[in-house]
Amino acid sequence: MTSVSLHASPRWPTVMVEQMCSVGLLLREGAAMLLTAFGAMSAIGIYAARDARAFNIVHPAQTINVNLAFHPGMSIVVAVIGALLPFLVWQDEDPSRRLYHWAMPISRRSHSLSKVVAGWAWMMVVTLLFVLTIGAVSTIIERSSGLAQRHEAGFAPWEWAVPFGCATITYLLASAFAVGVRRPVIWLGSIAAGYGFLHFALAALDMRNALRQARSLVFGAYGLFSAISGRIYAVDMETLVIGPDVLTWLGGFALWTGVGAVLLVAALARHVEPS
Amino acid sequence: MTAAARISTAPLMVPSPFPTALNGGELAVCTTALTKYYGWHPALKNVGLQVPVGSVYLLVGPNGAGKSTTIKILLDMVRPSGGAAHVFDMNSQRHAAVVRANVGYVPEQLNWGYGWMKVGRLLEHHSRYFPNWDDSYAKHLADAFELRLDRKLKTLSKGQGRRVHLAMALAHRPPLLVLDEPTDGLDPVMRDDTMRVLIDHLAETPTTVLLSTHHVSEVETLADHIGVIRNGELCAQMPIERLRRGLLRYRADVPDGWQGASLFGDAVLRRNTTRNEIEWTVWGEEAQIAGELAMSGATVRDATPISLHDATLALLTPKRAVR
Amino acid sequence: MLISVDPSDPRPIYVQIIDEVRRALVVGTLSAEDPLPSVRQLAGELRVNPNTVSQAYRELERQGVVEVRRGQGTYVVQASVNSSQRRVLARDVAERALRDAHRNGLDVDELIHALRAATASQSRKRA
Repeated sequence: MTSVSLHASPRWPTVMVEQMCSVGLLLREGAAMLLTAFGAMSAIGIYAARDARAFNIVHPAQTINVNLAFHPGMSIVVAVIGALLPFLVWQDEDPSRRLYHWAMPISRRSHSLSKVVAGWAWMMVVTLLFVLTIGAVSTIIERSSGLAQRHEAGFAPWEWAVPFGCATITYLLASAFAVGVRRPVIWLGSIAAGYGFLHFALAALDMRNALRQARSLVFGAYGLFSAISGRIYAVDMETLVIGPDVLTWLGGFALWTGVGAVLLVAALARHVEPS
Repeated sequence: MTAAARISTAPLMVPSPFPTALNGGELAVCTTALTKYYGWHPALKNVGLQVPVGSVYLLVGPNGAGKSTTIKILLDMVRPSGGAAHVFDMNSQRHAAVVRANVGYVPEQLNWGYGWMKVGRLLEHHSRYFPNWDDSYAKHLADAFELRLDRKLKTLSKGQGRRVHLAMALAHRPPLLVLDEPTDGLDPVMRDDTMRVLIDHLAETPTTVLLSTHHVSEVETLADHIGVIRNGELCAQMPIERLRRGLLRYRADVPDGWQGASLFGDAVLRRNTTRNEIEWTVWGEEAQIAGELAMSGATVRDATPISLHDATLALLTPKRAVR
Repeated sequence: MLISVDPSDPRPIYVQIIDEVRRALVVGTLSAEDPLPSVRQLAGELRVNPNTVSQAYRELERQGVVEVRRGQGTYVVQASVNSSQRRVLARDVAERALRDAHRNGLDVDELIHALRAATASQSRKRA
């Protein structure tokens, strides 16, 4: 052993807290823009409801309804945010240039993981704000204009969890690519294009069984789209919604979270040398 | 005279006439048979770097010779194709995190840290990763380097950015400083200030320094060991005192028709020969070289050490063929 | 006391520092009981490795020119300010002159002769 008195690595909680802070700082501008967008949408909704009320009073025969009630299908908004967020979190740090992040005195795997977790925590905050905004807006509309804010299909209380699960899935999947590969956009684009081509080819060749299976990957009961939207679709889009079912959704959520986690673990284990 | 026979051998794989290993002493950095291939191209061949504890080790070599690759292997940023690297007796790949906890690193490239962060926040961010971070020393360094803490890193000039990196590397008083071209982009006044800060640091904190630079003359009073990398090979490694004593410039008068033109073979790094006078830069024992020159009929006028700058130039410049 | 070193000088830096201290003793800018600058201060001023300064101070201590007083610094020893320093210094200067003469192809007699002649012409100028 060496005679030099050595320094220790930082404790993991310290790093985790610092990652929360620095990722939060990094996302500050984006978050401000997002909040402005939420606010603007709320204002437009409330304003439209006032107009509709006036219109309904003048023309009782032709009523207009403005319905901004929460619906699990709205999760698609946070799904998109979740898919984009990792690229914001890892900006300036894609693997080909990842130098500073990798030179820190902590195992690379746990360091990258702490950054992913920090980004996820902020994603959950954004999702919460989204759900709260919608809740608040629909309450305001109902109180001020008396327009019923209720979704026709109705939904079960567990569906409030859908946006959170949905953001988690897209965030995890996108994170795995942002962490693990040099050109994540090309990878994701290629996968989407590959799926589209497969779909097209199977349809053209009239291979119905294979096509069904390919479609069920996205639109099946445990498909990606069902897990994200909380609506459980039949494999054939023509028959549309089978209906929400908590166990089926949980199954789909677990499946796709698992896929994301496996990809992320693989991405974290990769050693990419700076170029 | 014996060395003369070596000239005719093929230029490849000629054993270096210079020492490439230190003898004894505790090492802060030790690499054994370090090899790195990029595709088919060997970037490092059998490099055995030995940096003694407490030394200021100067690693010199042309661009692309393998200095930065060697340094990045120490921090597990690059993984070797063969051989191993140890820092304070810890394998740099297996114990990468602890190794990095003990190294203050200033990399070659300038995009280090987060461009979007303000300098003050970046220092704070960095400090969280180093439990030994000395806050008051960090403030002192920020003053000494005239850092503008409220500016974003990416808005700084090259020289200002470099000094932020230096402050980040020094403020946790690491046992090993690894500085890859640390004064690149600094103007002469900044360079001088930086040297002063570094010297004060060394006087206060026991530190080993591994320094790679093109500006040999500005660190020649600071360094005490030198390693020379050329084409991925460590062709010389020794204490600088040894280089000073062993590599001398001999001036001698020679008679008409002097027969000693190819004396010492590879040990001569520079041969300036006119009809009656020679000025050679030769590696070897002074008494022996001077003796052999005298035996050949030359009158040695003086033998002087050369500056580190000239010595590295001589070591790095491919020799003109001597026949 | 002013100390300066020159990297292009054939003498190692630590020897140059020793010679400079000795020169200061002979010239009189440094006298008994005077402190030497701290290692950190001198290293910083000269832009040299602190170890080099320490090495020079250790060598001076070994030669009995200075002594280290715990917690206070390095001080010039009373006994060191005497004629022996002059002799050592003179010998160094002479050796350098001899080497220079040899490089220029001059022998000792020529050098001594030239020294006498130069001294004579300088004193004539002053007079």
